[in-house]
Amino acid sequence: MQATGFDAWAVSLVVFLPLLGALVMLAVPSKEEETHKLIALVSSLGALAAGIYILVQFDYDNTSELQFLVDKSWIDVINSRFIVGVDGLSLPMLILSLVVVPLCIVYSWQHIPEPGNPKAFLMLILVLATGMNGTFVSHDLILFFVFFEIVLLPMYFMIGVWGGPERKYASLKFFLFTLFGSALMILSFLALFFVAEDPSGTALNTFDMRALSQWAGAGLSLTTAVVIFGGMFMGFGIKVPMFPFHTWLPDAHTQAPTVGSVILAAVLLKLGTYGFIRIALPILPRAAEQWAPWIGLLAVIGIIYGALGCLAQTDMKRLIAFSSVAHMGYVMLGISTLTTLGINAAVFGMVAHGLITGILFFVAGSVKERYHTLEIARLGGLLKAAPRMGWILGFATMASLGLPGLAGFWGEFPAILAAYQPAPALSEELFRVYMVIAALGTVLAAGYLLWLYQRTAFGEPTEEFADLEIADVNQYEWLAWTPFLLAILAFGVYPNLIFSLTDDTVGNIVSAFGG
Amino acid sequence: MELAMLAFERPAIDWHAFAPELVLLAVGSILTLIDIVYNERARRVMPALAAVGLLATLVPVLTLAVDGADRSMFDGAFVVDDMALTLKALFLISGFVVVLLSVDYIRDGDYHENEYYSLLLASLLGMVLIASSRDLITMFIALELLSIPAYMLAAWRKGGATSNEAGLKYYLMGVFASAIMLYGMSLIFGVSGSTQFDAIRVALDTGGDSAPMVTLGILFVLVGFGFKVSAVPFHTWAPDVYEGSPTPITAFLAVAAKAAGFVALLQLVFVAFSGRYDVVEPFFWIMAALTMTVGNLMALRQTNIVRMLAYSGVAQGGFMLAPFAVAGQATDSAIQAIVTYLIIYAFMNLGAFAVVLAVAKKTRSGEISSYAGLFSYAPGLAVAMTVFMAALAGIPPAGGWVAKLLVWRALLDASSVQGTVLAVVVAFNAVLAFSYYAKVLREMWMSDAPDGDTSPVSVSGTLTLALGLTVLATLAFGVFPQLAARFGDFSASFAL
Amino acid sequence: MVDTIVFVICAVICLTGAIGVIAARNPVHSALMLVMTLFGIAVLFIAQEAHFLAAVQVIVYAGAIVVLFLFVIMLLGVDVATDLELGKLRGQKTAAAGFAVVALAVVGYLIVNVDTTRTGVQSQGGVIDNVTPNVDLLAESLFDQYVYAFELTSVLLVVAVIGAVVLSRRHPPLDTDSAEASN
Repeated sequence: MQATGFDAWAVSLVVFLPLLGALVMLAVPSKEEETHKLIALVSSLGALAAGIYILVQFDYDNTSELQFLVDKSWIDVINSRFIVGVDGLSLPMLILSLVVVPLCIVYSWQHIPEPGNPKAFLMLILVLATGMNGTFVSHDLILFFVFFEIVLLPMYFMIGVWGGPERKYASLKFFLFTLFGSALMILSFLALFFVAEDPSGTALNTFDMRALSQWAGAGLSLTTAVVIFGGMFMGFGIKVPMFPFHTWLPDAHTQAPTVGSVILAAVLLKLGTYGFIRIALPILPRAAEQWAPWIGLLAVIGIIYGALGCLAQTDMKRLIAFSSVAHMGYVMLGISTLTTLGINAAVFGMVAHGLITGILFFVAGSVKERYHTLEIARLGGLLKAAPRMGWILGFATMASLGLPGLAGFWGEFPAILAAYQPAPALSEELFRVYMVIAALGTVLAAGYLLWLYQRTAFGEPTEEFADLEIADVNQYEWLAWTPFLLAILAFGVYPNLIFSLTDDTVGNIVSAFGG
Repeated sequence: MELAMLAFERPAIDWHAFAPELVLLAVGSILTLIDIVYNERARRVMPALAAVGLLATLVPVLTLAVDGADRSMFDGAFVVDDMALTLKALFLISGFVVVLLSVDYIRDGDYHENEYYSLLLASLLGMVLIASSRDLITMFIALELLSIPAYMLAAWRKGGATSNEAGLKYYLMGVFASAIMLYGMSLIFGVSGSTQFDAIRVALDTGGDSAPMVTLGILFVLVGFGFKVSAVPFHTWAPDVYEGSPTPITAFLAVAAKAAGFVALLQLVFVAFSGRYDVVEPFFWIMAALTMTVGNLMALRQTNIVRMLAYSGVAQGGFMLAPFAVAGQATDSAIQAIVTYLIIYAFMNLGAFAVVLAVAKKTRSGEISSYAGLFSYAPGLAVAMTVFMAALAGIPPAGGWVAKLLVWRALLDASSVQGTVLAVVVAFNAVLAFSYYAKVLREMWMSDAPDGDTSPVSVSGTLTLALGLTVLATLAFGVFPQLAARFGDFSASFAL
Repeated sequence: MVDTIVFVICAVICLTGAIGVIAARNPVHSALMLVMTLFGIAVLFIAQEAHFLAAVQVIVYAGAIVVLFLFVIMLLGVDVATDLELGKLRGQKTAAAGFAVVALAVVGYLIVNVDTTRTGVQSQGGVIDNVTPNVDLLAESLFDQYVYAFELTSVLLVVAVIGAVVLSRRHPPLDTDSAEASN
């Protein structure tokens, strides 16, 4: 049912308010930096306000139903429509993205990285916001693709202009990897357009995800379905990133400015996993069953590889980046089980990882700003030098290694548990092996995170920085970080906040796998 | 002999259908006359007159579009339908932008200014005509009418050796292509007994016994056009010609002249040769795959922006050729993809050349490295260039993605193995292409200005207008793809 | 039978002339070879009963155009063999030869495989009925079906003349006044 009145505008506001802000900023001369910051903050808060309106008005008894639905004609010639709406699966991701952006803008108030130019920097964040929010609400494949791609250029510039010394290489690598994936993904989308047909045999010729999910690959030969799924796997898998395609991530993260890393970790990576759950699984369930063991395999390789990678790192930011590879491995493992538990855990893991890695990158950024280095060997005694920041880092590492009571636990544990009993079509033995490996991964995770914390926070500050006056957390940082910390705690204590939202939608998806 | 036998009846002429050509011809003649009478004193008004003339030509195009009726004259040699009108408008608007680009360049350089605009209009007349011709002879004459002024315009920078080389090379290659094409046309005429596309189609459908001869004729014609649209392996002239010509002419050749080649191909393939897709499809499959791959690989190695754009144009041509490879399997989608691509390509590429012109005014260089730090001293130009590069690379929301999407759609619509494989080839090339567009982005945004010279670039009014027009169009096509795509929906024009 | 003999003789003449145009080292010889080719074609026209075209071919091409060529060659003084530098690209000749062989093979294959080639079907524009003279038919074609292309050709020629004049003018006038003064 289409929304009416203000409801019909709510989702569009969420998506396009940031873009509007960016356009307004275009007209303001770049000298007026304060005005720019204000416009950016106001427009992102405006989007958040609309998001909160959605959160309040959302019908929690029908979480699997698409609410605030708008369905308007867009590209008639290819029968692609402007379909946006929110259900239990998109809502947590949307809110995550809506919260992260204004917090990043607050953080940027005092931390515009070299070479400055807040106007351009903030405009890019706003364009990113539009792309991210749009991806989470669109229910038309072409619309999804457009939003999915819109984030590329701003992120490319953010890394390339405001990044570290290797920024040119890292930004291009990021771009080419993702572009390659999305080129194959759009081919798959187009293929779906042509192969989908209704039970009577007439072609559907639609990009509407709802209709395609309903069709769910009926009557399609398995080989074709597997190939089409493969295209989507490349698109989403590179974005996640999954094991063999992950190499762009450490480079991008290490070189990106703090805010860029935070947005990349908190939201951008989730576009890939979200795509799997929203598009790939429901539309081609039979192919998903064929792919699932391989996805699971790559996921556990990612978990172990990421963990070992972490142990080898000497740079704090690079370590956090590798830990992302491992954590996203748990998410993908959850998805590959094709069970309610696994996919719920995956969604939870996406949110949790977004929050935890987000705060880790924030702290890393602030450490870098104070010490001008992130080399773990040269750091130390953070608890002495800046106790509050030290405690926050401790809190975040604990959450990241999956301490029960904090958000990280609910993303990892159920995912591992789900691998014990995967969907009926999948090999139980295989997934139990995966389960064991993944469980080993958590031990490694505890190892590298605690080691990181020990080396950076404990002990005395190194001689190099012994006399340096290290400022503790300032007000902008408090403002930007507190919501993260609170959310990590809240979701950790009461995970049902998210599980209750996603459960029905996930249940619908999983019903195709007999789970 | 009796006179009665010679009684000559004037062929029926629909003056309204002819109006765009007549207006353009009139403007061109007026320009030439003014040049003769006032000589150098007329220099100032020439560009304005040419621009106004082009806009005036759009008026009858619009009235014909509003009228909506399909018109046909001379036994179908001259046809006015939706597609012809759309393409005419495209040529005229491209021509208008080229005039805008030319104003400063030609005035400030040491050029013959008056004749420049007359010849430009003459070339555009050829293009406008080609959109309507459905007859081998008419098409050939229109093609020559657009080419011959273009040969001369390429050599317009008479002092420069590169420009002379450009003109001569373009001329020789063009004549060579024409000769091959003519030979192919004569073979087809020999078999079909008619120069008219519809009659050729009917004759080729039934003329099975001389199929090899037809195949040869078709191949020769297509190879000839391969030269015109600079498809690999017939592309070798393009980079030298593009680099040597005056930059506005380069834009004109890369956009309008190439589009004209494609328009001719559209009519030949989908009307005249529509019975022989068995020849056409594999030919274009190979040519498209080669063109985009070689074009991209060569573009990667360029350090000069104009040469880079030249090779990128070759590669883009490959993307446009790709739908021809499924001409028979997915006719409607293929036509739509090609026409939409032409429309969007015209704007994004003209825009890129506009930025090149604007920047060259300050840096006096065509090296990509001279774009270093552009964002720091000319943010407007840098953002505009970013839009065009993103569009050419096919990144939403800039327009190019729609064009690529439709190409992919056409290829997959064929639901054949060849189509799917070519679609994957296109996908690989789309990614490959970004690496050299990124080179420009990187210089503009991420490098420091050479010698710390951050004095602003002065952009003239006409260039600003051209930039504004092209940026707006490029973005509008990307956000509201229906705008461009609806003009490509010509299933009716080719209802066979 | 006669037709075939005439055709073969003419074809040999045409091709010899064409090769001669390229092969001759002296431009004057090239021009004369061209005349030979054009004459061969004129004879072929006659064989097709296109007498008027044959006459035009001889008068305009062989007569006027080649004479113009010769004028230019003599006036510019390039009537001696100039050593054109060739073969700068490595492997170019080999590649060209290879390509030529392939092309010839394709053409040859097509010709051999054609049992009933039907070229030279009577044109629809001017069907020869042995009653109406050639000239009349040609005129009717030109001014009826092809009037449009015919008129275009005139535009084309004018444009070509304008362009040629501009390109061959020696100096673009730098300064309006001085340019006019010197005239």
